[in-house]
Amino acid sequence: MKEEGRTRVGLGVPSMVLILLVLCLVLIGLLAFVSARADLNQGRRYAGLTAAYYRAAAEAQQALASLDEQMTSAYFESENEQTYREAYVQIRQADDTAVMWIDDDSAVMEFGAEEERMLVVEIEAEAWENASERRFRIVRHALEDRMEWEQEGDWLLMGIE
Amino acid sequence: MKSRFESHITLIELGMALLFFLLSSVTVLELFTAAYEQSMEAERLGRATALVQRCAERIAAEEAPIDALKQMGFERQADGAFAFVENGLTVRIEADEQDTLLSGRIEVRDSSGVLLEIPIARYYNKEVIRP
Repeated sequence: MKEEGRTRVGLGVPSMVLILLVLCLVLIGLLAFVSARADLNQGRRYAGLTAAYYRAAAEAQQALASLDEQMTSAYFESENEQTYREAYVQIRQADDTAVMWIDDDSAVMEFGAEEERMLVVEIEAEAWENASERRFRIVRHALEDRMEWEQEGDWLLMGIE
Repeated sequence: MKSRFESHITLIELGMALLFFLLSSVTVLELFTAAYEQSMEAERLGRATALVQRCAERIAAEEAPIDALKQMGFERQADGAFAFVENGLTVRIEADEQDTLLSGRIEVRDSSGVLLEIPIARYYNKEVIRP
């Protein structure tokens, strides 16, 4: 609009620019908030999983100490390999849900660590002549993911079937 | 008369635009503040997790865990626990060392309270002599 040779700009245009600016600021604020919230949720999940792993590891160490105590008693009560084996057969038959004996000398212990993860500890019992030094050896101490993956359908990955 | 009416309308429009700007500025500021606070909390939690892991792994791996804690800078408190302060986070370790088992807990806290807490246990294989 021209008035006395000068162009007059009303408040409409600055108002629209202001609205646009405010909308942009709100959008940036929302993105920052959503991103920070996702970071926090991820941090909480990671902290939870870490705590779950160490809880399982602590349970495993306590179970190993308890088993060692029982096997040490069996060793003290035995006179030779035969009597030692007879003594720890009773340990194997004890109602201990944490320890699963695979065979005469090997056992597996499993401890839940949340989100379908298991801490698996496998031990092998030592022979009577070595039982003074140690009653068993830890042959595996691993965190296993027990989640079952399901195929959603046939699909190609980079063109390779 | 017409000019006076127009100037009133202009002032009302200007006032409404300013009010809108003020209200939306408050909303935007609140959003940015909340984002900043959450980001800081995530950062503190991440540092607490790393600290807890560092201490737990040291206890699990060292031959003499209590000595290792002292080497890390932990100091024994009056109640027997070990404490260490790093960048505003306090790590507190309660450890009870028995014959073949060390057990206790690790706790990380800041001024707002406990951020993370885990149990610890360490089994020691020891040579035994038959009586």
